[in-house]
Amino acid sequence: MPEIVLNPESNTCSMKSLEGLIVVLAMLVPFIAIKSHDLSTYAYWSVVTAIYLVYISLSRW
Amino acid sequence: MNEFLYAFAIYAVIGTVIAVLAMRGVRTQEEYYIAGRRVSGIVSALTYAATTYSAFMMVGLVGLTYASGVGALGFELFYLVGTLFLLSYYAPKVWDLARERGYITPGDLMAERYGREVAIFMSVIVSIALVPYISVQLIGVSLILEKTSAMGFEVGIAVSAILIALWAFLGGLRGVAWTDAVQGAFMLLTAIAAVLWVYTFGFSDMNFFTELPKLGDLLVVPNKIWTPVRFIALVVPWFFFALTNPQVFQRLYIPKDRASLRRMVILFGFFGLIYTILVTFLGLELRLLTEIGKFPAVSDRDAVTPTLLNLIPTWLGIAVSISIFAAAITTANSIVLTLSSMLTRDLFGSERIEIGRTLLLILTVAISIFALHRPNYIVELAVLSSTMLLCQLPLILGVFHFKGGGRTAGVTTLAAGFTTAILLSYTATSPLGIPASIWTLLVSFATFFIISRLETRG
Repeated sequence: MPEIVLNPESNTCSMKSLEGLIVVLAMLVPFIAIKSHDLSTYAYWSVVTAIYLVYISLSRW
Repeated sequence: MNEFLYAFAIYAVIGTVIAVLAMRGVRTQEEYYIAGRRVSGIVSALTYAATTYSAFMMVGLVGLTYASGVGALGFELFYLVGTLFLLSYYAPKVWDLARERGYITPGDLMAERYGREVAIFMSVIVSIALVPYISVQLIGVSLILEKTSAMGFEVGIAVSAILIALWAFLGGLRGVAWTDAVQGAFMLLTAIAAVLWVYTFGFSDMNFFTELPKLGDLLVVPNKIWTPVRFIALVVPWFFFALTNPQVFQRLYIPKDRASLRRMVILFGFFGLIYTILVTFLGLELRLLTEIGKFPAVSDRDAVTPTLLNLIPTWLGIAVSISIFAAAITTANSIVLTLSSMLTRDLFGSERIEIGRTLLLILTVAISIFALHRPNYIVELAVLSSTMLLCQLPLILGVFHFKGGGRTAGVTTLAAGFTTAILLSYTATSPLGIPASIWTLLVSFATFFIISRLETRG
């Protein structure tokens, strides 16, 4: 069986893990910090996702 | 009713014409299952979106938002950021490998890395996980068609099954992708129309934002429904959807070049964000209208959209009904085609597309029979599907991050994770208060690392 050999890219991987952690923590903020009875939570989640989408669009893969 | 049937006939004819046009040149499995790796970024994005976003969005998510509030948006957007995160890292690697080594199914990658037995086992597991899931989609849309008096339940199942099989049978992935692209755009447009209509006519004599505080705790998390544990239990399986669900994983093979792959991911992200915002906003609008007495209180959350369909103008009701139908069809035929490819290549080791087409028909019949008989356990299995598929995650990540592990580690990881998901669901238990999805991940990863280590020493 031929072995699949990939470049471990450990630096890229750890940077990506940090990025993932930041995104997950940012998405959990409403559980702790947003308590107003308006569209704040709704807007917050939408904006965080939009910012991440723009970041993905602009960053080098 | 007649208007719906005319519109439905036009929809079916347009889809069939597209599938027939896509038939040309389909002679090999590469052409049939992954459109010869020549799909543009825009079509790739629309088929990825239409495959991902099922009838759950316009029915389940509208109802979930109506019943539970903004937590439903958080749950769905968590899935989206998870997908973007995973795709931005793994999609180029998977695309490179698939092109370099000629992969057609997700199982091809597993077979090369862990051995053919793992690919065989995986094809069986994903079939068990996804056949009930598709059946439930068919049940859902057929019930909606029945409630809106468009057609009977059995006729709805039969028509759905015929369209699922026909479009995939004729054009393979190219047929599915082209019909997905048209339907995906239609799903987005009808969601915009529904949100605007409800906003314009529901709040014509009052200010939406002034009335909003009447929703109370539905506007914040956690609330009575969205507890942190429930949120995590639902989010975890969906966060990894892009890697664990073969119908979307296989779509990483189809873009014609790297630029198209990148375009696919980014455009899918924009589609997902806009569609999710529209659908959840519709749920909030309807709940607020209930609170102020302008929309009936609906206790069954899956009945929220059907209730709306009976109140909106006929033309919009028809458009929304067809968009829900389209959402179910696009998801179902993509899954059926992927399962057909996995069973043909990975399970039976065949290179013939005739075998794949036959299996596609058999799968569609099986799904229809499941849907018509509606066994009690079918809904539980469908809900469990994303958790069951988590057992593949260590193996997929292992390809890119872990040198150890082979045939034994692959098979035992799948067996242990799959068994954990089934057992915890069957006994309805959450040991230590930890949800089944987390247990499935923990057991799968632990098995993978332990057996890989033992296998390496051996």
